[in-house]
Amino acid sequence: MEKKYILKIKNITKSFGGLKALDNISFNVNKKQIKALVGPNGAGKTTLFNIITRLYQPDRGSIEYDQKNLLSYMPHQLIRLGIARTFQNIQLIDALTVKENIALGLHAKIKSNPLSVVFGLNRKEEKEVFEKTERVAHFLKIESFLNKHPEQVPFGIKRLVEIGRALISQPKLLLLDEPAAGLNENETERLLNTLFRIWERGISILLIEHDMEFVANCSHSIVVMDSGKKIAEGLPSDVMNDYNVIKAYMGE
Amino acid sequence: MRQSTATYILIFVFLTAGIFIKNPFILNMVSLSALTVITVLGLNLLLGYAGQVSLGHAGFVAMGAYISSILSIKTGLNPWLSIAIASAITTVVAAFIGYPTLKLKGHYLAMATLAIGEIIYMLANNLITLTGGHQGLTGIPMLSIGNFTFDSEKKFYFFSWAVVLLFAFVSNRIINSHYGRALKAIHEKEAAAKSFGVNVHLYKVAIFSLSAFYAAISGGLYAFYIGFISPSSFSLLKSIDYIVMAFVGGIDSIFGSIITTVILGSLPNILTSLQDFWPIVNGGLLVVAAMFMTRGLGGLIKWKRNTF
Repeated sequence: MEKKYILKIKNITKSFGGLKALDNISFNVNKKQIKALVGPNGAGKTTLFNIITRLYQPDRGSIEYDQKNLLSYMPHQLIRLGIARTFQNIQLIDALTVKENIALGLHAKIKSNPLSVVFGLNRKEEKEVFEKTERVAHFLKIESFLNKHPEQVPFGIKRLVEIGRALISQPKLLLLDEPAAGLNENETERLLNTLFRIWERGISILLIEHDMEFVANCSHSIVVMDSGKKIAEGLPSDVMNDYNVIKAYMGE
Repeated sequence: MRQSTATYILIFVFLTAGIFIKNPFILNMVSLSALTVITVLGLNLLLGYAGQVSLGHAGFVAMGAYISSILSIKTGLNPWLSIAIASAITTVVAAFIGYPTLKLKGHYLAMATLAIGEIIYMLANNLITLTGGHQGLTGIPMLSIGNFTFDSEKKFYFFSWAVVLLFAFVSNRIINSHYGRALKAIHEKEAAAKSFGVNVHLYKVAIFSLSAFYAAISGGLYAFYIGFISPSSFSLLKSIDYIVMAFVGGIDSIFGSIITTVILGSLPNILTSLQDFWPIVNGGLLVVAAMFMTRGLGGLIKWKRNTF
């Protein structure tokens, strides 16, 4: 029987010294679902994200992705599994143009080897890479920035370029680390719209966010974390009313 | 203009200039610069693209020079074959050295590579039965193809610049491919490079080995051209010279590196009275470039990008 979920996080625990950053966290991300991970600073969201992206190893627990044991992979292998991510603090390459930055997302799929590169046999493939880049830019409506460098581009566009770099790899699961952080109202609106259009294409999304309003507007399901524990999970409307959440956010 | 086009024009200018230059002193000087250019081009890939420093590249030049010379002197092996074998050995050794050292970052990597350069220098000085110690190796045969021997400054001049052309071509192809993009990503944002499938450590080791290969070829050709090598040609000061040439030329600019290397490589020979003070001039240039021209000479020009 085909499974409903694409990502299954089970009993993940992680301590740093005496501090328990994650305490027995479990939840699933279903296929074609936008799932949000929310919680105040220090809740352990980023630690969990870093475990999923394989930068940290958990002390205990398991993560199943697409019927594979995700914890046995290294960070650079995730993209081949169909997991692409964006970063909270933008990680675009200033020495590359927007076009080349997006093209970087295809790196793992490029077949040309060093010899074919030296003998110029990679031209056709490079051309295809940049054609795909243009299609992604068109989807995100950022074509006019393609030949600029990241430093010449507004902040909101940089976020979209990062999403473009992730999308071009045609991921099954897209991980977004605080995508709305630092965006103004218009940019947030545009991001929301973009996320829905990505979701329409059948891509599952897991996002970390501390802007509750943004999360309530865009996700199908929310996991709330506080002090390393999962304190609530469910539909946005349910979670928003949950007493524990209000407590974590507002204090007593 | 694309930087690669400008680079090929520049090399073509040097090749044509060879037809008109009669003075063997100048021909010799610019040929030697061409050999240095090969090393600096390799360093460019490592320093300018992958963003990894090496303060020990003179060591790899030395390996290329010594191993090839010893092979040809002791076993009578064909010089070309000697250079090829020496370069292959150097590349493999660099990979073995690079594997652990390239896990280091910043100052630590600089110190480790400096130590590697010093160790190779010490070996050249102290393995006297093989290397002749500080007196060096003599009687290295001349390069030849069939009956054609590279026995004049002019002949070697054209040959050395043809080799520069070959290596600049290889560099350009790498830089303008997905490998070039990955290297730049490693340079700036390792985490991003990793999450898009770049095996960061493998790439660092590969580019370190490739740049050692460039250095070894340069060293091998140097040995068979001059016919004599001694450790003083491969000291720490040489490694620093290479860094200055790459940095002042623009660490990610092949075009700038070639011009700067020829100028900085030739000036000490022209301004002979300055020769003893040259490290001061070099150091000063590095400071000026670091303060006012961080992208070097090549960074002053606005190049057209090489994408489709």
